[in-house]
Amino acid sequence: MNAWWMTAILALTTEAVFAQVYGTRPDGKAITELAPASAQTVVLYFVATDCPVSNRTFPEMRRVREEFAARGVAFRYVYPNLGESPQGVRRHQAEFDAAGEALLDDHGVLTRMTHARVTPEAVVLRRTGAQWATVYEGRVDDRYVRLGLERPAAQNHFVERVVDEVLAGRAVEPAVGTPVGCAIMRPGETVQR
Amino acid sequence: MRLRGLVLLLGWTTGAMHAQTAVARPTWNNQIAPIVYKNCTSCHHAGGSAPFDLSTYAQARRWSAQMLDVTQSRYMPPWLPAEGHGAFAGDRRMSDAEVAAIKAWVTTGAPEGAGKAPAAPIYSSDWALGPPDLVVEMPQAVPVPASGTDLFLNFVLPVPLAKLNRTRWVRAMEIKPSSPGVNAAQVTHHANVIIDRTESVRRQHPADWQRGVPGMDILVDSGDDFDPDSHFLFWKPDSTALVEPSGMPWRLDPGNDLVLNMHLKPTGKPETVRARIGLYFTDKPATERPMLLQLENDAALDIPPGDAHFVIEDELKLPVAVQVLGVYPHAHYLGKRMEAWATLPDGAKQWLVLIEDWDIDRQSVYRLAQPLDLPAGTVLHMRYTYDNSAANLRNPHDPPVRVKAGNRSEDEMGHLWLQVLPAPAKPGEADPRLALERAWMENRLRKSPEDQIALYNLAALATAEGDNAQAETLYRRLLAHNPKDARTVTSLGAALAAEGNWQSAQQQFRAALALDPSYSDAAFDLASIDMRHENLAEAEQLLTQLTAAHPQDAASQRLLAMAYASDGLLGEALIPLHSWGQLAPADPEPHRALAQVYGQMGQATEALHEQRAVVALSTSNASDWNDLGVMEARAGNKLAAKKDFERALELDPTLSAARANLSKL
Repeated sequence: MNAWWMTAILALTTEAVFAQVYGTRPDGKAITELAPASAQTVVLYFVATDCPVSNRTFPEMRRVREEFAARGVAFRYVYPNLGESPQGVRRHQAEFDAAGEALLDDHGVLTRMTHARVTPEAVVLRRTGAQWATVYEGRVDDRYVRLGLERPAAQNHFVERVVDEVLAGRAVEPAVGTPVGCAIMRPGETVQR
Repeated sequence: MRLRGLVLLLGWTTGAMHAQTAVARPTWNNQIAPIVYKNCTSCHHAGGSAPFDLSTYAQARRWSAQMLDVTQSRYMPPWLPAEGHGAFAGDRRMSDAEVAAIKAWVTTGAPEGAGKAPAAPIYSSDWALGPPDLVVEMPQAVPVPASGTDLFLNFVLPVPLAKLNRTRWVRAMEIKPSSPGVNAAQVTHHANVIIDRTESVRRQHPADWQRGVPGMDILVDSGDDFDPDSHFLFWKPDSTALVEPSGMPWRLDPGNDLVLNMHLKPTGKPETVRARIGLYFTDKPATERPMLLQLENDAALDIPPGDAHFVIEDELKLPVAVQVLGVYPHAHYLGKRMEAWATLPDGAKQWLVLIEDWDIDRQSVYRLAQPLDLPAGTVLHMRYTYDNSAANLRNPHDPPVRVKAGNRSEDEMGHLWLQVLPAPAKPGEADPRLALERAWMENRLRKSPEDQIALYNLAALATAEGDNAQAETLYRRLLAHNPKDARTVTSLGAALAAEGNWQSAQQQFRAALALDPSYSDAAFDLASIDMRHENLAEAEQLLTQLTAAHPQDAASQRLLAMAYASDGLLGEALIPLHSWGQLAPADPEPHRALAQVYGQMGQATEALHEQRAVVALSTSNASDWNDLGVMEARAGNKLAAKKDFERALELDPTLSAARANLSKL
C-alpha cells in the first residue's frame, strides 16, 4: 500500500516538474493548475464524446459534482482521446453537464499521470503540499459490470463515498472492480489487454 | 541434385510459415473489414442506430478493445438463440473463426495491413423501399429523461381518415424512431406495433394515449369479428423494412390505430422521440391467413425472493396441422433460460428455440429460415427459468422481493408467441384458426379457470358457431366477476338477440350504454334491434350520434340511411348514403340504395347516374342491368335501354322482367 502511494506521488511530481501544462480548455487556453488554490480535493472524470457508457454515467457524475461543488471540491471532465476537438467537447459538455468544467488531455499528461484506461473512470486527488496525491482511481459507480451487463441502478456510488471519506478525514476504501467502458486511445499505443 | 532437393524443401517450409502467419495475424484489410461489414456496420454506421461507426480502419481501431470484449462474451452481435436449436432467418451469430480472427487482430495491435480494404457498405437514411404509400407519426415529440431506468411506453398513432378511406392490405412496414428535427436513434432500443381495431387504447387511456401509456405489454380489444392477430410487427436497431411473405399482407381498415410499444433507454442527456411508421400497400388481399398463438403461464409466476431457479412450463396440443413461421420469446428482467420445443405425434422432439442467457435488451422476433411443418396432435412446450436472487444483476429489486406476473418492467412475464400458418381448410370445413383459438383459450382456462380473456374469447367462439346458449352462459360468468363491463354486457345482448330474445337483448344494450354512453357497439346493436321492432326514433337518435362520433363507420352510415328511409325521410337518407358510398368505393350497394331513393324522390337523372355506377362496379348482376334499362327507357334512351335488357338476358336468360321490358320497347 505504501509503495503504491509513493508511486502515484512520484508520477504526479514528475509531470508537474517537466510538464506544467495539464491540458487545454475547450476555449484553447492551457491549464496549468488542476484546481483553484482553495480546493483541497479534485475529482477527474475521464470521459469521451463518443462513448455510450461514459454518456450514460454523466447523470451520476453530474449529481456528485453538484453535491460537493460547494464544499471545496473541484471537478474536471477530462477528455483523453486524441481526435476530440474543442468544438466537439464544448457541444458535448453543453448537452451532458453544461455547468461542468472540461479539459482536453491533448498531450496525454493526465492519462499517463493517473493511469486511467477507459471512459468513464474517476480519479480523486488530494492536495499534499505542492503536489496532488491519488486517493482513488476506479469506477464512478457499480452500475456497469461488464459491457452488456448492467444493474437497473447503481448499488455503490464509489466517487461519492470517496469524496465523503476524504472530506471527513476518514481512510479511503480502495477501489474494487474493473472500470467498464471504452478504451482510452492514444496514437501509437497498442490496445492494452 | 541433392542441393536442389534441399532448396525445394526450404521453399515448401517457407510457404507453410507464410500461410500460418496470415492466419495468425489478420489485418483490417485482409480479414477484419469483411467480418465487420458483414456483422457490425448494419447498425454501426454514420447515422445508424448504434452509438459509433465502424466503417473505416481508424474507427474500428478506436473501438478495437471493445470489439474484442463484446465478441468474446458474445454480447455482440446481438443474438440470443443457442446454436443448433432452431434455424432462423437473419441469424446474427458470428462464427467461432470470425471471433477468433478479431481476437488475433486486436491482440496483435489491430494492424491495418497492406493493400486496400474492401469498400464499406453504403447505408441510406431514406425509407428502404422508397417513399411509403402512407406515413403515420406520433402526434407529438415525447421527452425521454437523461437518466433512470428504461422506459416502456405505448403510443397511439392514429391513421388519418383522409389518407385511408378504405381497407388496405399492408405488404411491408418500416419503423423510424426519428422524425425530421428529432433524432431518437440512440434512445430507441426496440419497438413493436399492435393494431388496435376498436380504438380501445384511446378509450382506456384518454389522458395519456398521446404522450405514452406505460407498460411493457398492452392489451387491445380486437372487436367482435374473428380476425386474430396474425403478424409480428417488430423493430430492433438493425431492422429496415419488414416485408411480409407473398400472400400474407395484413389488413388496415379506416379508423384503425397503430399502437407503438417502445423500449426507450436513457442516454445520459435529455432526448425526445417521435417515431414514424411507413406503410406499403398491395392491391392483392391476403390469400394466406397466419395467426399468432401464445404459450404462457403467468398464473404460475409467483417467484419467492432469493429463488435462483424458478421454473414455469406450459404446453398446447395443436388441433390442426400448422407451419411455424416465427417465434417471439418474452420475459422481463428475471428471465434466465428459455426452452421451447415441439413433441411430434411420433414422439420426436423438434426444438423451436433455446436461449441460455436471456437479456430483454436484446429480445427479438425470430423468423424461421424455413417454415416448420407440425402435424395435428403435435404438443408445443415452453419451459422458462427465472432468477430472483441478488446474484441476478438485472434484478430490478434490491434486495429481491416476491415477484408476480404483471405489465410493469419490475413484474415478470413468461410468454412464447408463435406465428403459425394453419393448413388450409377444405371446402365446407370451418376456418382452422377457430380450432386453434379454441385450443389456446381452453389451455388458458386449464391454468386459470376464471381467465377473463379465455372466457370472453370462448363465448365469442360459441357465438360464431351458433351456440348462443353457451355464449350466454359464458358471458354471464364473466359478468359475475365484472358486472360493469359494457363490452361484456353488449356481447351478452348480442347472444340474447341471436337466441331470439330481443326484449332482453334491448335491455342489455341499454344497460351497456348506461355504463358507457360512448360505447359504439352497444349503440349500433340497440339501433339495429330498434329498426327491426319499429322504434325508429330511438334508432335515428342513436345512429345520428354514432355517425357524428365515427364518420368513418360505413355500417353506421348505412343503418342510419335505412332508418331515415324506413321513416319516409328520403332527403335525410341521402347524406349517410353518400357517406357510405365514399367509405366503400368498391361496393355497388350504396349506389343501388341511392338509385332507389332518388327514384322514389322523382329525381330520375340522379337515379340513372347511381344505377350506372352500380353496373360499373358489379357487371354481372342481371337485375341491375334490367333496372338500368328501365331507368334509361324512362329517360327516353331507348337504344341504351335495349342494350341493358339484352345484357341482362345474356347474364340470365330466365329473367322474365327483362324479357318483358325488352318486348315493350
